[in-house]
Amino acid sequence: MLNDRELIEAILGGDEAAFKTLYTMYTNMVYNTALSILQQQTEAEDITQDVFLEIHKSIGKFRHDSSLKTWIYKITITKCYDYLKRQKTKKRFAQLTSLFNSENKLIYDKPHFDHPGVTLENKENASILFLAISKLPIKQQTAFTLSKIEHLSYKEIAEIMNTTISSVESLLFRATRNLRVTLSEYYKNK
Amino acid sequence: METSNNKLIDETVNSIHSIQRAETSPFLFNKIINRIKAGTPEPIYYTGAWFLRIAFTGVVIISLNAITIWSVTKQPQKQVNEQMELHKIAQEYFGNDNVSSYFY
Repeated sequence: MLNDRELIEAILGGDEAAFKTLYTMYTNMVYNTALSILQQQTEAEDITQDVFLEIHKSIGKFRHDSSLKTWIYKITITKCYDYLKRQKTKKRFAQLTSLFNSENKLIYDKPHFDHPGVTLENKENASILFLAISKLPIKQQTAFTLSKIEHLSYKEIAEIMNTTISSVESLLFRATRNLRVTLSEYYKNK
Repeated sequence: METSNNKLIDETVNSIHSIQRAETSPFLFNKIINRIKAGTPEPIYYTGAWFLRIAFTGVVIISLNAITIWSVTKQPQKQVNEQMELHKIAQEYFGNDNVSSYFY
């Protein structure tokens, strides 16, 4: 089994098998992170493709100042943020054009997310939870996903998000508090 | 009511522990390799900032055009005013309003 350095050297040398090994090691990690943040299966797959294309393009620039896993997580988070920024712009333009839309139809509406990795008996609760997660500020959402779904340590999350461990603790505390507030409102109105 | 709501909230939050890893499509790797081999350029995303830049450039161009048109259309009136002034002076001093005869 190749270590990270050997794997990177092999990929730089054009070894497709080495790239496939890297892909096999990290694809589920990338896909599941994107899935939890974007809450859409097709988009998560597209982002996964973009991430591995970026890895293939930029692996020569990897400086080993963090682990390969952290570097790949960082690329994944960046691609997800870029996607969400584009979606926000589309939504703003949709709102602008709705001024001229006499039908007053909602042009963009996010459907309920059905995570493919959730067992049947927990599907409804998980769907409600993901809806609450989607309402969190993006940094809280990211910290919560990396901690509770990806099971990363505070130290790893701090490295990925380029922040301190105490900031991660604060983000998680606020995320959990905000989730409970959102869920409380949801069940009160139900 | 409060207790049952808290129970529901706890159940909902705890459902996160039931999440298993989802698998990607078995064809995803081939799609990636095909894109690498095709040298597919990254799609260009036109963000809000891009549109703002275009809008700002448009405003600047329109403003410059407006200023140019304004200054060009204003000139003939200025020239007419100057001509009238010269005629006045000529009349006062020379009793003659044919200004051009003193210059050509």
